[in-house]
Amino acid sequence: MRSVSRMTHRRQLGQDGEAAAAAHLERLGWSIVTRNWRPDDPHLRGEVDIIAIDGRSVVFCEVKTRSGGGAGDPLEAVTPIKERRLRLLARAWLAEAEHDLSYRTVRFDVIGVRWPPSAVAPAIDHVRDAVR
Amino acid sequence: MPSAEPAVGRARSAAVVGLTALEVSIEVSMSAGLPSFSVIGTVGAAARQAADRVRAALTATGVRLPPRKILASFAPADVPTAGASFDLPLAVAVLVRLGVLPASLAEDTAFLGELGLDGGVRPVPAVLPAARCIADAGVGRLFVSGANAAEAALIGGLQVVPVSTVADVIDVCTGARRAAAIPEPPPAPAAAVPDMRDVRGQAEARRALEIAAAGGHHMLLLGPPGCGKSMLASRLPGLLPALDDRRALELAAVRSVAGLLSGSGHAALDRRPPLRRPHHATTAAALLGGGSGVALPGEISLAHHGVLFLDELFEWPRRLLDALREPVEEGVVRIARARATVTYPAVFQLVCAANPCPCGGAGTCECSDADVWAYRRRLSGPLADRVDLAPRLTPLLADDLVGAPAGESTAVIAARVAAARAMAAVRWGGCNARATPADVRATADPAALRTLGRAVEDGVLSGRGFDRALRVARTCADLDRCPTVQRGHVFEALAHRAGLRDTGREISVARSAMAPGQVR
Amino acid sequence: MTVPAPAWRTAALRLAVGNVDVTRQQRALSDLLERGQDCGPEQVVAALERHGGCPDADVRRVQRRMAALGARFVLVGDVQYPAPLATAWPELGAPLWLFAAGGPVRLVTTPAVAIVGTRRPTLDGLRTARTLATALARAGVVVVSGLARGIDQEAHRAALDAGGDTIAVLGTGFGVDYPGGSATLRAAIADHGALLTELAPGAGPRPWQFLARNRIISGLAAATVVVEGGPTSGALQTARLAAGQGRDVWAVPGSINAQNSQAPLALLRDGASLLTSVDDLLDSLALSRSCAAGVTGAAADGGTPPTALSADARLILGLLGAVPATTDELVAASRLPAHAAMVAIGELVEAGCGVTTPSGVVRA
Repeated sequence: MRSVSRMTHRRQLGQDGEAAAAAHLERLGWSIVTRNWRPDDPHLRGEVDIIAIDGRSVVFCEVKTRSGGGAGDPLEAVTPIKERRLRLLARAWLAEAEHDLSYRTVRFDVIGVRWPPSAVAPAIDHVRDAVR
Repeated sequence: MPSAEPAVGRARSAAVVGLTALEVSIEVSMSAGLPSFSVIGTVGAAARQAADRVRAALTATGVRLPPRKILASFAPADVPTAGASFDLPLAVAVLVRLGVLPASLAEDTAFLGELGLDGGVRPVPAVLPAARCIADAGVGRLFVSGANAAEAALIGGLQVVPVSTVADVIDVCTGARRAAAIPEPPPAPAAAVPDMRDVRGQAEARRALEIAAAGGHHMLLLGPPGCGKSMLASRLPGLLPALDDRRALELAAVRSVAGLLSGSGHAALDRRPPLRRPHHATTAAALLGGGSGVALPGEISLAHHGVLFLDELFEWPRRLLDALREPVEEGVVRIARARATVTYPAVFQLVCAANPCPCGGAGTCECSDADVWAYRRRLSGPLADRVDLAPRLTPLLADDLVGAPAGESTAVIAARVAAARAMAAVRWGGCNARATPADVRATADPAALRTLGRAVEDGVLSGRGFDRALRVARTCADLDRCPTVQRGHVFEALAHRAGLRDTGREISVARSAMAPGQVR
Repeated sequence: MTVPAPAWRTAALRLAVGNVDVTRQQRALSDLLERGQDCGPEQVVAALERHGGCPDADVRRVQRRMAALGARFVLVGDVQYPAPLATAWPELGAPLWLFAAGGPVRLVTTPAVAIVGTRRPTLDGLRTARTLATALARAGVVVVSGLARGIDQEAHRAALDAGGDTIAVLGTGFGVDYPGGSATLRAAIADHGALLTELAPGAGPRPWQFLARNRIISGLAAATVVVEGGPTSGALQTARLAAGQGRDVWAVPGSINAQNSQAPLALLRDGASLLTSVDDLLDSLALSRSCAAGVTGAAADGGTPPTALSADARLILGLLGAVPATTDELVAASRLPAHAAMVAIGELVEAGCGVTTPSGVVRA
């Protein structure tokens, strides 16, 4: 971690956090469908961090990684605008998806990753059904 | 000791019109005919009734009028008299004709006073200008009611004899008694001059007040209710230097004509610059002067050499503000009357106060800039052109009141003001506000004039505003003890005008960006 | 989507001239959706024909007028219908038709950004709108707005001044001078961009139509930027529509004391992206920063360079911002004596670094 710019550092942290979140979901026995999914329509902005299947639910996950030690509520990451965007993206993915998912329910989860610089492994806060 | 009866009894007095007095003498003659006592000539109603009052007063004094036809006339014949001021000289003229009083009185003594039916001598207004006229005519002695004595005594070179009855007059004139001393009026209550120290915060307004005092400039205080506009206005007179003899006497003459000096215990000449604050519902006559019959001086004249404070400027009727144009411009007010126009002096400094914007300005203000400029443009008219300082007063929060340091005291600021005024007096014998534009420009640095010129080009200042701002800059330079007006002084003068914004350029700047205009 | 046949066009035009409004369109649309029927434009037009329309004479009159104005009638599904809007059809309420004047709207590959804000901006807000629009125009981004006084018009003008294209979405039909005095600007926009409206020529402004047109503004753009706005401003609504359409929402922060910051601050609280410089926006659109070289939002002091000012003036300048400061506040903050502060203010105004407003001094 020598003279790395803050932006790069943050991006790195974000990627590491997502990797950790994916590993966490796999440990739970979920199957990950795709990561960092973007719709074809360029005007539908944003992306979904992780789309995974948990039993009979397809779960759209938002991952929020922090390097601070304090336990911030991961749900804070979901603002009204963000929530709206997640729903739109989810619907777009469902429209585009090729597999038959009509029998599955849809859920939105938020995964908070706390990874202070000194820590070897991060702490995971997994909030299920964060967006109703 | 009765002297020989002269053919005509004469007594001297003076009549006052406005502030001008003229010598008057009253003549009484007696002839054969049905017994009567009348005053002839074109005199006012009260003067005609004087005959009755004099007869009653003389009777009360123990002097019986002979059963002859008694005629009294005034010289000059058409004296624009009013009131009962000539009762006493009329009585004296009768007494001279009767031989009770010596005829020589007419040479060196004048009389002024109203008579009661009991023979008492009552005070009358306008004694001061009358006394001056009498003194100027070379008459050495003046008899007046005790209550008028102090006022008359302000005129040097005149022996004032206070009397309370006609009997007193007879006693003194016949030498039976010495003239009484002028009664010692009660000491004037030391009215505490409000001090600038009491004003907390309001840095811009305090500075504007200092400039106004130093240069005689008119100002507009902008602020929400309760933020201290009256407090500041009432402290301006304290910053002005005491009136010199000439000015104090002019003011005293106005007060005398208004009947405000008699019996009020003014021991000495009041040199404090006056402060008048008429209410916006006042009548034109009360403000400017006039009234039915006698044209009495109005508030603006009572504010002569002082401050006229118009609170709630936007509540004032437009016609009253328009009527102020002439006095503000010329320093006099002319009141037309059937026979003559009465002129009173009215040299005053104007302090106006108003809310800063249509919503009042207290609390959170939602007015847009355009709304505020439209509101302030209502100030247009005779006064807008004449106001040079427009400080903004901000409401004080409780915290500010506790922590704010006290302002400088009146004494300290007045000293600076006096020094600045002295510079102006030496330069052109008056204050900067009344100096001619050419004269002021001659004392300014070219850079300063260029800065003003640029302000006019930028639309920040109108053409008229140029000279007005320059005068204020001249005062800033005087306060800075600087003989030439420099850029910095001009900057300050422009900043003080910001509340006025002659041409509302700020609106046009913003509006040209906001409104569709030519595509550049 | 297939291009509607000419018969449907005329039918649609008849509906448009007859002022069949958005609500009715959407009701017809949702009816069809509910019944699981096809909802292409022809079907919606057919469903609406029962509700509205107008005599042929009116339609011909409007057609002549459009020919005179050089205006076109564009149905959803036409090649000329703006692509970003089409993706919102049918569910997200894109307009069934548009009247277009000026150049063709090519937004398939060229991105657009909407700049919206209050009709009574501060000088600082105007400056932000100008800086943003200029940078976007230089980067080849189309600037979209609503031609309203204030922020909208400043954005249109700045884009034009920078040689870029701009699209104005009107709240009236063509041929109506609203806002008053905007004719010159509209003409310029027609030359370098396009004028769009859902309303037939001659239709005057009505309050509810502005709300409807806001969805078109946000729908045309990849991102909507709210520069300034009060707590109930239309700009707030446009931003929320953008979020609903899945577009990026950006807000420019202002002083928490300023009325005009309420909309952007509310949006930021709701999760809008924080716009602190043009680069943020351009980066997100994945555009090269070099296009916008030379245009920064940071205080570029036009006029007298700060070093020519006196020390007092520089001190006061440092205290000035977008929120007006009274003299007393500046005196207290600078600890200068009152007269020195006033001299400094006068100097700053003269140098063009400050502007006096009725509420105090603002940074120019």
